[in-house]
Amino acid sequence: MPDLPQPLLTLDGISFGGRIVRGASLSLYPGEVLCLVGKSGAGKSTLLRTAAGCLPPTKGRVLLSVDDRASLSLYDLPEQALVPLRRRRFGFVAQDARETLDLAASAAANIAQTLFDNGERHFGRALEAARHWFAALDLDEARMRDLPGVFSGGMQQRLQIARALVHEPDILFLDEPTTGLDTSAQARLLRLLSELQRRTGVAMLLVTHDLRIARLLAHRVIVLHEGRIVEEAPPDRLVTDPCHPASRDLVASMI
Amino acid sequence: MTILCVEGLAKRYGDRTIGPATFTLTAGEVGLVVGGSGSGKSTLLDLIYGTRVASAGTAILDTGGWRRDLLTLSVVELISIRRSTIGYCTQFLTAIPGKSGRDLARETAAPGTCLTEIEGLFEQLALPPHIWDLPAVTWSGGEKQRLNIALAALRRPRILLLDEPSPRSIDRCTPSFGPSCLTWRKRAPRCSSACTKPRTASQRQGQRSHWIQQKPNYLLNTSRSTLPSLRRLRMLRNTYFTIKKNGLSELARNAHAKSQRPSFGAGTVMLHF
Repeated sequence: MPDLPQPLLTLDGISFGGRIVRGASLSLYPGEVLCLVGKSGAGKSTLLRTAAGCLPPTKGRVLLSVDDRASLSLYDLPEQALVPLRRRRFGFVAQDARETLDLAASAAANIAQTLFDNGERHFGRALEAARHWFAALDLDEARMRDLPGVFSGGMQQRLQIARALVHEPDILFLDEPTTGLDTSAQARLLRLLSELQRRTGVAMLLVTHDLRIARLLAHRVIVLHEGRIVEEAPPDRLVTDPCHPASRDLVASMI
Repeated sequence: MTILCVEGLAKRYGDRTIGPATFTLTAGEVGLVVGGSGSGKSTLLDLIYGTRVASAGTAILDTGGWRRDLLTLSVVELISIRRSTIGYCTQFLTAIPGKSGRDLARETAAPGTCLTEIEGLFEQLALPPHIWDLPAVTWSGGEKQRLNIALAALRRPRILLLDEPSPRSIDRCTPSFGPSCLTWRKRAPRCSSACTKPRTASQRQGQRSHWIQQKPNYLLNTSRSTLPSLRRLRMLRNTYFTIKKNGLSELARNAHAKSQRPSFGAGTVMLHF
C-alpha cells in the first residue's frame, strides 16, 4: 500500500457550544473534495467556519500542515499570524454572497482585493487576474465594473468563487454554494467547480444538505447528526448502503 | 497469480443473508456472475467495490505488489485503491449535468491517456462522433451505458467490475464490443498531436490488434439474455460463477465451460455450462 499523503487540514476533537458540535474529528487531504452533509442544525456550517479559522471552537484543535512534517494549530496562533495565514491559504465561499463580497466596490475590484490582501501591489496584474477569472467563470467581461449588488444570484456566487480562488489557495471552503440557484445554474456551478478542482487541484470542504450534489462532486462524504460525525463513506456507498439512521433518513428523502 | 481472493463474503439485510461467497480470480481470467433478478449479483460486485458494507468475509486484492483486504480499509485508503486499481461500471451513468462525454472521459482517464486513445475507444464502442461533445445526460440509454463502460476501462484498472453492461448496448455493437472494452489496449505512447483524420478501416484494424495485448481481469455481472452474445464473442472461456436465486451460496466454477450446454434446473435460475 503506497503511503497516503499528509492531511492538509486536521480537525481534532472539535466541540462548539454545548450541543452544536460535539467532538468532531476529520482530516482533509490534498486535492480532495470532502462533503459535509446533514440536516439543518446538525452543525455543518459551524464546523466549516471553525475549520476555516473564522470561529474559535470551545474545545479541540485545528491543525494546518505547513510543510511535509510540521503543522500549525490555528487557534493557538496570535491574531496577527492567523489572519494572513487564513488569507493566503484559504478561500471561503459563503451561502449568502453579500457576506464575503464588498458591495460598494466593483466586481473586478472584489476579485483584485484578495490579491491586494496577499501583497500584490501591481494594479495591472491584479486587473489581468480579474479578467482571467471573469473568463474562467463564464462571467461577462463587459460587467467587470458593475457593482456585485446588481448581479444575479448565480453570477454573485461565481464572483465569490473567483474571489476565493484568485490567489490560488490550498483549501476552498464552500458553504451551501448552490442555495437559491435554479437547477440550470446549479448544474453550471457544479460543472465549474469540478473543472476548477481538477485544474487547480485545490482541496475543497463543501457543506451541503443536498446528497445529489455530494454524490456528483465529492470524493468522500461525512454525515453530521446533532453535532456528531455519524458516518464517513464514499458517496456511492452512502447513497446505496447508508449505515446510520440519520444517513438513511437523508438518503430516503433524496429527490 | 491470484488477483482477487474472496472468502466467505456475505451481506445481511435484516434477516435475509446474501452469501457467503468464496472464489478466486487469477490473472487474465474473466469471471462471470449469473443469476436471477434479486439473487445478489450486483450486491456481490458492490461488496467488492465497497459500495456496500459487507457483514462478514474477506476480499483480498493484489494492488500491484501489495495485498490488501478491501473490507478493512479506511475510506481514504479505499478511495485511493479504487482510483488506481479497480474499475467499476454501474448500471446507470452518474455524471454532472451538462458535462460532455468527451470531457468525462478525459477527466476519468488514467494519467497519460491521450485524446486519440479516448476517441479510438469511443469509435470502437460505436458511439457516433457527433454526440461526443454533447452533454452525456442527454445521450440515449445504450449510449450512456457504453460511455459508462468506456469510463471504467479508461482508468486502466487491474480488475474491472462490470455490473450488467446492458444487453441493449451489446446487441447494437456486438462486433466492436469485444475488442474494445473487454480486451485491454497496451499503453500507447503519448501523442503530442491529436489525430483529426478519419481513420480508414485498415488502420483501425491495425490498431485493434493492440487492444488485445494486456488484459485486466473482469468480473462480469450479466443477465441470461446477454449470454448468447457473450458466448459468440468467445469471451467466456474462463470462469463462471453461478448464483442460486436464494443467495450466493452455490457459486460453482466450471473451467471447460464452452464444451458443455446450458441446462436449467426447475425452480431456481441456475446456469451450468
